[in-house]
Order: sequence, then C-alpha cells, then structure tokens
Amino acid sequence: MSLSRIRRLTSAFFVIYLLAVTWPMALLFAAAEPLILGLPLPLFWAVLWIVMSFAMLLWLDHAEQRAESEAT
Amino acid sequence: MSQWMWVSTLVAAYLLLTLAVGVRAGRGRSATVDGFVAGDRDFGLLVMYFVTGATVFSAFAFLGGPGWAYSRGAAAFYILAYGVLGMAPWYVIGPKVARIGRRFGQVTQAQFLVGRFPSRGLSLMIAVISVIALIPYITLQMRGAGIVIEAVTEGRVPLWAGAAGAYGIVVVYVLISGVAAVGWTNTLQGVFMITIAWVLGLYLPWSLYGGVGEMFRQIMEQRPELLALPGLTGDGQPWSWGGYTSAILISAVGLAMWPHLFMKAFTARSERVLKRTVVLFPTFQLFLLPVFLIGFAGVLAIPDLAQPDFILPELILTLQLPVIVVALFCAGALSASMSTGDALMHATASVAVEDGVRPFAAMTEHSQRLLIRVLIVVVGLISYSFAIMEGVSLVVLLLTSYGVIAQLAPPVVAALFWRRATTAGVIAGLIVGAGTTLWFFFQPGLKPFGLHEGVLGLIAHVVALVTVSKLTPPQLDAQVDAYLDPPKFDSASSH
Repeated sequence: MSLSRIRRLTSAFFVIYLLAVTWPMALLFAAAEPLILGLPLPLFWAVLWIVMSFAMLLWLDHAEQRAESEAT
Repeated sequence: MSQWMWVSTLVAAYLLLTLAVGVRAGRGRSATVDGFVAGDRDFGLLVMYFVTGATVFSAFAFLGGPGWAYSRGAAAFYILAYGVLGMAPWYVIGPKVARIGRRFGQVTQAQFLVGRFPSRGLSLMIAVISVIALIPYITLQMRGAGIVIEAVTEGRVPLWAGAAGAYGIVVVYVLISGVAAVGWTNTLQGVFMITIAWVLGLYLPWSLYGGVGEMFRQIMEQRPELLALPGLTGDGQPWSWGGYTSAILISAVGLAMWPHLFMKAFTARSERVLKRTVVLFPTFQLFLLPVFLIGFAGVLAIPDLAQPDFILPELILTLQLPVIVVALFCAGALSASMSTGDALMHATASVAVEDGVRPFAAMTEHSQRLLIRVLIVVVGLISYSFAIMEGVSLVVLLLTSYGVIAQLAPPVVAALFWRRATTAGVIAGLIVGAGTTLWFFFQPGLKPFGLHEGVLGLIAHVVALVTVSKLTPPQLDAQVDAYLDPPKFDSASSH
C-alpha cells in the first residue's frame, strides 16, 4: 500500500476514534455491562482505542521509514 | 525505628537519587540559551519518551486520577480518551515545528509564532497567558508533593516542609542543568510512576476484592451509576454528554499547546525521534488504566471519603501495607509531581525571559541564562507561597487556564498550514478566543449544552482569525513559505 494511502487511512482512523469516544456514538458504548476482560464496557472501549491507535501509528511510522530509506 | 521514619528515610534516599541524576545530566551541555532551554536539541528517543509521558502525567495522576474514578466514576474515562487524540497530530506538526525552530534558532512557542506573525505585542501576550496559566499548575504540583509526604509520615512532616524539601531539590537540579535535568530526571521518575501504578493498580483490587473483574461486579451491584457514561459531576449528579464530550475536545486540543510540552519539540535530536515519541505515547497513556483501578478499588472499601483526592493515600495507610510499598507509593507520587513541576518551572522562567523581556531589551546570552535562573527561583517562591495556603480557587483557575491555553492551537495550525493567515488575524483571534473563554467561565449558566468554555472560545477564535485575516493584506510569500514548507534538517540522521 502506498504511503499517501496509509497517511489518509491514519487520518480517517483518528477522526473515527474521536467520533467513537464522544457523543453521540459513545452512547452505543455507555452502558456499564457487559464486563469485557473484567472491565466495564466504556472503560474497555477507551482502552481498546488506545491499543488500536498504537498499532495504527506503528504501521504509519513503519511505512514512513520505509519510504525514507527508499528515497535515500 | 517506626514506620514513618523508615518511609521518610527511603523517600529521602529516592530524592537524593533524583538530585544526583539531575545534577549529572547537565554535564557536557553548552553554556548557551540553546543548551539551557532546548538541551542543544539533542534528546534521544528514551529521554523524549519519558519526558513527554512523565510531563503529561502530573501529581493529578496519583491523586486526582484515582479521586475522579472514586467519586465521579466513568466521567474519569474522558482523561483516558483525549491523550492519544491530543498527541497524534503532533506526528505531523512536531517535526515541522522542530525544523522551523532549528532553522531560526527558536526555543519557545511565542518565538515560533512571532517568526510567522511578527509582533512584539503578540510575544508579550503569549508570555503573559503562559505564565498566568503555568503558575497555578506548578502550585498544584507542589501541594500534591506536600500532601503525599504529610500523609505517609502520618503528619509528622507537614505539607509546607514536604513541598519545600521536594521542590528545593527540583530548583537545584533545574538551576544547574536546565532542560537536560528535566529530561533525565523525568526518565527516572517515569519508570517509577509506571511501575508503581501498575503494581498498585493490580494489587489493590486483588487484595480487596479478589480481582479486577470481581471488583467491578461488586460495584455494579451497589453503585451501578458509577460505571456508565458520562459518569457523575463532583457533587454526585449525572454529568451531561455536552460536558463530557467538550472536555475531551478541549483537552485534546490544549494538550500539546501547554508551553512546557510544546517547547520539547525543540529538544529532539531528529525528526525520527520526535515521530517515534508520538508513536510510543499510547503505551504511556495506558498507565491511566491502573490509576483508575486504584480509584475504583476505594469505592466500596472506603465509602464516603470527604476528600476524594486522598483515596490512594487513604487506601495505602488503611491496608497496613509493608513499609517498602508505602515508600514506593510516595516515590511514585513524588515522581509524578516533580516530573511535571520541573518542566513547568523551567518553561515558565524561559518563556518569561525569552518572550516577555528579550523582545523589548537587548540581552547577551549570559544575561539571558542568568535571568532565567533568577526567575526559576522567583517562580518557585511564588508558587510555593500559594501552595502552602488553603483554598480551591487554584484548581478552578487551572481548569480555566486549560481553555485559555487551547487558544494557542489555532495560531499554531494557521502558522503551519494556512497561507492567508495574518498577524492582525492571529492577535484578534487570541483576544476574542481568550475573552470568550473567560466570559463563559464567569457566566456558566449561559453555556449551551454544558459545553466547556474553552470550546466556545475556540469557535469564536476561529471566526475572528479567519475574518480579520481575510480583511487584512496577505503576508509576504517568503515569510509564509518558510513555515508552510520548511526544509528537512536531519535527512542524514533520520535512521
């Protein structure tokens, strides 16, 4: 996948992240139950997005570094 | 030897270790303003990772964080939500700011903005906003340190003495080594904070309830209102979705605009280091999870605690934990306080001199460094005098200053990405944005949907910035191009 596409995907990811943790989309994950991995749903939801954003940023950085090394 | 003496001895040993690391960090740095304020632009990934994470998570992490989870439940999750959202744009913005700073020799946020929008008045305005916002922040860090020491020594070391001891050490290492001390002590303190938060965050639910899942099951039965979004307000009423959502928005926008964080973009060795710091930041952000688990552990164990911020020290002392665990908690909390407090004191003095004094008076490198050092002591003394006084107004002031600091975001974005932005537009935006924020702060009943006053200020700010910029002549192309498309500085070192 091209670097520019990965950059666009990353931007879209963070827009979705913002929407997912704020009103109104957060209403879907506002109830305390079910407990997932022992955590209430809203807490698990917040942690899940942090973990996913780490993976997304790693992917972007890997692609950027590869593009830089190809350019030099 | 009684428990409090053992704890005091271990904490004193930890503080001496911090002092040694801070003093040693300054070796090999140049005797210049660049060296003292920007660390000769030579921070590597390890230091940048911890300096960013440990600076973001202050005394609030060990006191306010558990306190929020304990008293306001799911409302605290907004803190978990905004950190990465606020830091991610820095992957793009940070390297550009660093490139421009390196090219023009900038070491502060105002210097960066004034380079694109020339105005001594703008520089002074940013300096005043920054200093007014930073002093209550430092004061809260000092109070946090004093509270922790007073609690674990069972009142034998009072708040004033604890705060003076911890921050006396901070002043010494910042005076001697400048930002290099901030970097290396934050590395030590960051390791302590993360380790201790995870140990306590898993241990307390296990020892009190038999595990994290069981703890939440019991809270669900007895206090279900604590676990559903958007949680509760400080007085136990349901929080509004407008309040929850706008708290995430304003905190995400404001996060990297705090001068003590923004200025760290000028300290990175290379663009790759800066980008990797952003990539790794979510791993630091997860440190809030055990912090909240600590707060929830107190919900059923110590119900009706009058001061929720004391829930962690209260748990530690109630459970009769071994001396070493109490001492480690104290070291962790002091780490959180001092790792933010040192960056704040250093940034406040640097901003006051570089942006508030230097544009109006010719100064040599030597006199700048001297004045920054003098102001570090002055800022420390002012903050300390506030810290030992009682009162909640500082917390209120800090929350408001977050809304005002966020007003620095539109000028930064405009400087880097909007060709048509002008100096008059930026000044108008700052005045209207900060003014609107303060007006709604004093008229809370008029805030629509319970939105944070800073969000309302940002809306007014952007309208004023765009309108006035369009109505005034555009800037010279050469001035704009240097910011919109800055040449890379470190292609050779970006491996």
